Amino acid sequence: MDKLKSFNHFSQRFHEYFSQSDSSDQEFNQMAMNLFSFQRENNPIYDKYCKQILKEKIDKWQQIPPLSTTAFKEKEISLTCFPPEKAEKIFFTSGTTKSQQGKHYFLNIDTYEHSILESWKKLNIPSFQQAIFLSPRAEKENHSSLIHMFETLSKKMNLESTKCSWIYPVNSKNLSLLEKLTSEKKTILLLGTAISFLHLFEKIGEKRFKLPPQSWALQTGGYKGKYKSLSQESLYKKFHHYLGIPAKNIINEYSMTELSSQFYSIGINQAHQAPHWVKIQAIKPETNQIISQQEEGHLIIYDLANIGSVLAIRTQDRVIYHNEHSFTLLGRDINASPRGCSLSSYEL
Amino acid sequence: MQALVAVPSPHMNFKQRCQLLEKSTFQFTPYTGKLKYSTLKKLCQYELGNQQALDKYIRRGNISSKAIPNEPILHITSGNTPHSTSQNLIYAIMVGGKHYFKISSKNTETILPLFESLHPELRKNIQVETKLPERWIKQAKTIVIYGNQETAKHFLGKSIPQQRIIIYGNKISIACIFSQKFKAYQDLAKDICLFNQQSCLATQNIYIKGNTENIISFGKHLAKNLDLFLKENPPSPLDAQEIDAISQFREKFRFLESSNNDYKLWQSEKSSDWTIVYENSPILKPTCLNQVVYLRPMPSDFSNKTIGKHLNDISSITIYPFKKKIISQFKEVSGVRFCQTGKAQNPSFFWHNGGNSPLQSLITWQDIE
Repeated sequence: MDKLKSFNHFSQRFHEYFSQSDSSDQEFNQMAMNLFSFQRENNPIYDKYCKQILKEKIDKWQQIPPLSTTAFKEKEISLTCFPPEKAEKIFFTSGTTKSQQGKHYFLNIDTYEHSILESWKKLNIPSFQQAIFLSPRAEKENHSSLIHMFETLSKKMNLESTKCSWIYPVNSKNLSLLEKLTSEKKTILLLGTAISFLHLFEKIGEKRFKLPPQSWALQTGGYKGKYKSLSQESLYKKFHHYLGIPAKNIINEYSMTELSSQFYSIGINQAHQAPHWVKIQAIKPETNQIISQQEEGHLIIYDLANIGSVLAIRTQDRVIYHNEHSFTLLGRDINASPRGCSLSSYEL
Repeated sequence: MQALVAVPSPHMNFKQRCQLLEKSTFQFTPYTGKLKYSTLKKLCQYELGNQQALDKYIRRGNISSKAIPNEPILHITSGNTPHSTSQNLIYAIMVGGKHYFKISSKNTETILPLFESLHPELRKNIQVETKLPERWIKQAKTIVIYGNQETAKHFLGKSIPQQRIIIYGNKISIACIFSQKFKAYQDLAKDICLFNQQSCLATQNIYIKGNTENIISFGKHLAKNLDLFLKENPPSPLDAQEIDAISQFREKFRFLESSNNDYKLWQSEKSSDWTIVYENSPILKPTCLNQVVYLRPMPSDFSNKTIGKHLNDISSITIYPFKKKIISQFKEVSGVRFCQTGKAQNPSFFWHNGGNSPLQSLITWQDIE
C-alpha cells in the first residue's frame, strides 16, 4: 500500500473512531500505537527523534515520545507523513513571537473538520438563532487554524438554521451592526479570541449590550503579549458587564496550530476536557518526569486526529493535571525572550 | 516601598563624599570589589583630568573649567543583579548632586541594602523607588537607563531634547578559547555561573578554535566543570518563567540534535541547573540565561558578516590563554572589555561600561574665560 493510500485508510478508520460515543483504554492504546508506527514509518524526521529518545520497544501510548511545539517552527523542516507539496492546507502559528512561525501541514482537511464537529457535538450546548464570529473570514486568513475552525462551525450552524454573521474588525461601523444584531432578541453565540473580546469591550465603552438570556460566548487564545494577561475571573466579569453573558454560559476553547483537536471548559476555573480520541499527560519541565494527579507541569497531548504529522505534542503551557482527559490551564503566554541587563517597559 | 526622603544636605566636597562612601561600601564589595578613597580619586583624575575638578575651577589651556553634576540625575537600573545599581550609586555619590534611583521590584532584598548601607549624609540627596514617579522623568536633566530597545524607545518618547539620555542596552559576553586546558573549563564555569548568569558580563557564547571533535570534547569537559562548580555554589531557585524558557531551549535543541550533526545538547541531570548547546555556526545569539551557553566554532574574524547582528551587543570578551596580540582579531568590535577567562564578571572599577566614561556622562562643564 503506498503512502497516500495508507494515509486514507487511517483517516477512514479514525473518522469512525471519532464518531463513537466513547472508547476503552485498550482501544485508544491500539489506535495510538498503530498511528505511532505509521508516523515513524512515514515521517523520517520524527523517526530520527524517536530513535534518539527511545532506548527500548514500547507498547503503551504514554511511552510515545512527545515532540515539542518548537519543532514545528524550524526552518526547512516539514513534520509530515506525506510529501509536503501534496498538502491541501498549511496552518501557521500566529507568529507574534520573535521566533520562526510554526507550520502544520494537512494532506486533507477532512479529519481536522471531523474532529472539530465531533468535539462540538460532545459539548452538548443548546443551539442558537444567531452566531456572531468576531473574526476575519478564512478567505482573508487562509492559514489560521482557528479561523478554519470558526468556518467549519459556521457551516454546521448554517445547516441547523443558525444565522451566522462575521464582524471584523470591531470598529464603530461594525459596532452598530453588532448592536443591531444583539437587539433582535434572538439567542446568540458570540465567538472570538480573548483579544477580540477585549477590543469589543473597549469599543462598547460606556454603553452596555444586553444579550437575550440563553446567549453564550466562546472565547479562545491568550493575549499574545499585546495586553497584560487578565485572570479568567476578570475577563468573564467583563462579559457579564458589557454583554450580560454570565460565566456559566462562557466556553473556553484550548487548542493550537500543532493540534487537530480541541479541549473545552465551561464556566470559571473549570477543567478543560478532551474528547475520547485525545489523551494527556503532564511533565515536570526541570526533570522531564511525568507528574501525578493535581500536580503542575507542562501539558503533553496525544491527539489521534494529528494523523499526518505527529500525534504526541509537548506544549510549553502550564497546567494542573487531573486525569488522562482533563487539566486546568494555568498559563499560556510564555515570554521566553532573553533577559539580562534589561527590563521591559511593563516593569516601569 | 518607602522613599528615602531628600533633604538638602550641607555641601560636601568630593573628598568628604568619597571618604564617607569608603566607610559604607562593604555591601558593594561583591559587585565592585573593595573601594578605597584612593581608587575613587584615581577614577576622577582619569576621567575629569583632575581630582578636584568637581570642587573648583581647574586651569585648562587659556580657560578655567569646573565639572558640575548634570542633575537631578535619574538612574533606571536593572534587577537581574545588583551590579548596575551599585556602580551607578557610587558614580552618583562621586559626582554629587541630586539623584533618583528607580530600581527593579525584583531582587530588592539584595539591592535595597546598598542604599541602606550608605552614611546618612550621603543618603540625603538620593531617593529610591521601585515604581517610577512621573515627576522624576520631567525633573531629570540626565537619565541613565539599563534596558532593552523597547524600554529605550519608551523613554526617548517621554524625554525632551534638553535631557541627556544614556542607554545601556542588552549585552552579551563571549569567550574565545584557543587552547583546551583544565584551567579554561574551570574559569568558564565561574564566568558562566556567577550571579546565575544574569549579568551582561556573564559568558553566553563560547568560541572554540578547532574542529567539531575538539568542540564536542570541550563540551563534555565543560559539562563536568559546570556540575562541579554548581555543586559547590548552588544556583538560586528559578521562577516558572525561567524554567519554561530553559525547557523550551532544551527541547528545541534535543529535536535538532536528533536529525542534524550540527547540534549537540548537554544538560544537568534532572534539573534546570545548566545547559550547553553546540551549534555549528559562528552566529552570536543570546541565551535564556541561568547557566545556558552556546559552543561555537571560532570564525576567521569577528565581524557582522561572520557573527551576525549581535556583534555590537558584545560587552566582554574573555580569552584563553590571554595574549594581547589576539585582540587584533577583533578590529570590528568596539566598546568592549577584553580580559582573561575567570574574570568575566569581576570588572575593574576603572572599566568603561559599554565604552562610556561613567563620570563624564553624568557631568557638564562650566567654563570661565
